[in-house]
Amino acid sequence: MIYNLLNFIDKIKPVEKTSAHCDIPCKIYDPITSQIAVLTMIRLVDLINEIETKESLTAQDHAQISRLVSQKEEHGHIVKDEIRIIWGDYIKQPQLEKYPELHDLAHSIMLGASKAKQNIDKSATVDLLEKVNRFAEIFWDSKNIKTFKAVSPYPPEQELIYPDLKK
Amino acid sequence: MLFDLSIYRVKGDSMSPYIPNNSFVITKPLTNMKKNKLLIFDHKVYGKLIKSLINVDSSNFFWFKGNSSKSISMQDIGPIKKEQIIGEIIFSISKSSIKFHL
Repeated sequence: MIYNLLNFIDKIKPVEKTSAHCDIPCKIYDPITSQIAVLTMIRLVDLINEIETKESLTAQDHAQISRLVSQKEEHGHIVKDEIRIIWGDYIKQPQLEKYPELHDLAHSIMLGASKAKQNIDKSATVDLLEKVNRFAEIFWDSKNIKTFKAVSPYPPEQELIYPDLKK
Repeated sequence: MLFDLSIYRVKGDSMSPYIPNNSFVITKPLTNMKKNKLLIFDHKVYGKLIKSLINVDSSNFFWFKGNSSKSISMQDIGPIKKEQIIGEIIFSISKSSIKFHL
């Protein structure tokens, strides 16, 4: 009743507007950013492990490890952000019904990215890639676009899911 | 404005479902900087915005977020000065409910 009254007043003498501003729904979604971010994490772990095999570390090595760890952290955030955007903005009820694993998968990616950030552990990053690849596979399937697996043509040479966009 | 109270109509979904699009909100002048408080402020790009307060940093800048995944991000909103704050929401009126935000 109060709402109807205010609505009526607003029509006669409009009240000031405030915006609960949203992103423009640009509809540009692509999991490749998260996939490349995981590849980067794997590569960074490899580079850290290479330095670790040295008998003694120089100041330069310590500085390099610091940079690599910092970048690994940053790319872990990218993985989480990119998956969250697709999960939160693109995934709707029809996709959830068709792919019931989606909620658990997205959550496991969040946990997996945290684990990969917290440790210098290649298996954690490879495991994360497997999950992100599965997410990518579902994403493209939901758009009726076929996918294929191929090894990335650059280090760390891991298998990725790519969309087959050729008609 | 009446007794320092103001009324605004909310346009957009970024505070939904807490404050749905087309709700009315009543504001009073800012009294404290409690986290999660709903505030209206003047943004140089977006105009008058309604968002949740996340934090006031050591430089006294206010940082905000929306309640929905559709909202523009904290980074897009950027730091807000205290002078840009218009007021805090004390209650909201939508088609289906009246909520107090104290």
